[in-house]
Amino acid sequence: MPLFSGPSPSDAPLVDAARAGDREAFAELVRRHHARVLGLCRSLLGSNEAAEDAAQDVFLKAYESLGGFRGSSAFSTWLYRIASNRCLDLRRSAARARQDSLEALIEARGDDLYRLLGRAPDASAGPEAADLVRRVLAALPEDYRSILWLREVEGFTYDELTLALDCSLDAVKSRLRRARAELEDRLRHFLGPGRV
Amino acid sequence: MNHDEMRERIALLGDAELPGSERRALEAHLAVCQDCRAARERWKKVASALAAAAQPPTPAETERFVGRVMARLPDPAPVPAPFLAPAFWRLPALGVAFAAALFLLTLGRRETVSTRSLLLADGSGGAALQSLLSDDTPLGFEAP
Repeated sequence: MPLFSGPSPSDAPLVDAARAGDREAFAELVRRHHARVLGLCRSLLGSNEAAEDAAQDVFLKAYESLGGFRGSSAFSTWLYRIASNRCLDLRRSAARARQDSLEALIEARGDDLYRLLGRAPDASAGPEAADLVRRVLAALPEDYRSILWLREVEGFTYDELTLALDCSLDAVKSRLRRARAELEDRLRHFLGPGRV
Repeated sequence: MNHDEMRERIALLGDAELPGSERRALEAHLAVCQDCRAARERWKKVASALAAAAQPPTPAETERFVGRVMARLPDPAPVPAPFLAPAFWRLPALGVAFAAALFLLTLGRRETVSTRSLLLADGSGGAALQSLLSDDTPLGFEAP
């Protein structure tokens, strides 16, 4: 479910005020978009700490570049582009951490996976759930991992996905369908009858 | 849609964006297909597990984040005195005021200085000039 419901107030007046030097207006923009930008960074970086640092960088860059924002797109769209570029830069420069294969993860934490997948839908999953899900998704191709995290964990709508991933609605639907099928297939041993 | 196409789209039933017509078609298929009903239940478990990983920031966490971002913003640059600022005009304004005071001071003199007396002051006006000037021609300055 999306984190925000109903129409959100326009950012345009705050952007104009921030451009004119009103720092409190910019603080309000940060407040409004913090969750979404942090979620996008988490989907691309796979670490809470790295995502937090990257999200700060994103807003700092946005502040410095306000003068160049022409308003031809929504402020959130422009912010998502900055976030994507920042995260891609960080991934290019950082040494790639070894990612466990799903098989290795299942071997190491199979019981945890059974519990996570077998719990009642509204039951709490504990603080380790986020880490386990992140490890499961890390075993998927990158484009599947990011869209599943954005959609299923962060609750991005289809429209928000088109902006965050810079692709068409049809591409979002297609990628989401393939990503879900891939994940379900990889977890089939935990989902079959008699397992959960 | 055939069965395989329906099967591929089962997970969409959890999406609010699914068009009503497609939702009804999928639900009608589920009513008669046990395989797809089982697939639907499997996906619901996966979706629930993924949603359990959500950690949206609390309002307090967002406020701390805002504070960290604002602390990193560059200090506002000193604003140069714009052209229309009062300080910019101070010196010229004083000059104009001085000139105006001088003008008014001079203007306040009532004594009329006639052209005749100006021309004849040093005795160089000559008889011809005297005949031309028939009256005191005020030059506009009057001594109080």
